[in-house]
Amino acid sequence: MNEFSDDIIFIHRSSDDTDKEFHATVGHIEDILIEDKFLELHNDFMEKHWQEFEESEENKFIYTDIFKEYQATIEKYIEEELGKKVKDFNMLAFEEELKKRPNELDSGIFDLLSTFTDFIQFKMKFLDYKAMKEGNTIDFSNDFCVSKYVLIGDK
Amino acid sequence: MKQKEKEIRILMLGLDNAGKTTILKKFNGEDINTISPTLGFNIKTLEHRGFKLNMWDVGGQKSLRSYWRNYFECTDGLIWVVDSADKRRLKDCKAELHILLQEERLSGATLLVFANKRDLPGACNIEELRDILDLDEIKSHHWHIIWCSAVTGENLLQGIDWLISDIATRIFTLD
Repeated sequence: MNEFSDDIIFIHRSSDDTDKEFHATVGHIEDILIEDKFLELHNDFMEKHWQEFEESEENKFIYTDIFKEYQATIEKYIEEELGKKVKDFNMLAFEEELKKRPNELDSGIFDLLSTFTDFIQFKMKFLDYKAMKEGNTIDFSNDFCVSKYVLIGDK
Repeated sequence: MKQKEKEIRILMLGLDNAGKTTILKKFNGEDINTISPTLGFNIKTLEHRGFKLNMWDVGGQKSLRSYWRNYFECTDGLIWVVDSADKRRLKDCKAELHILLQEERLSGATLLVFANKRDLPGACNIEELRDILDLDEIKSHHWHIIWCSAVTGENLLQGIDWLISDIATRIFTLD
């Protein structure tokens, strides 16, 4: 996913302590998201599951299993890494704080974080990934035409 | 976890062919002519009366009912959809409902029973259903039964409005 390897520019003047705390946490998340270890974990997860997803309104039960696994691996990884950097980090409290400030964040981060709690966002993410994967694997079979070629002189 | 205030999660269950998906789509103003049996689940997010309703509709075939439990978490309102004209399966319907109501993760949910397909000939009326489904035995949940027709849309709004009002007085009174 290229969106996580792009440089993220984030400028905001923090006024009070809650603000400072919030933006410090966001800064840490930005750091985590560009670490190789996270990118690998995330990429492996997407690769493992994207083929299960279909562009259909109805959802398959397996999506729910994948969603739970997603929370148990990807979200948990971020939570644990944040726990190392932020004293007494509380993911739930942070997500609550986040919802009060939907317009303050780089949309890539906000979108990612919303995929942890919002199933529809999670599904959309996989469908986008699927579209990207299928767009990348171009099928050349229709571009080739195999036909018998006979030299007139052979007759 | 609640996503944010004024957000209500509604889980719609019932036997197969009761009309759950039709109710969902009709309520959302979508075409209902091409609905096939649900083998997984559907989700719609609707804005209604200032609330954000997250409605989950899970397939009702017998082989799918063991999956229902994966959708109990955080449910504020349970809609139990009954095919009022399918008299042969009302016993089955009653049994499934009462099993569901013992579920701890649904203990805080308000129950709305939609007596669907009331317009079909031979359909049971509310009093009959109340009796056959043993609704008066339910002491653990706030409940209400209302007839409706998913196809014509009659009473869908009234049912949902009752459900929202009950949930709102329970959850959002501290606002």
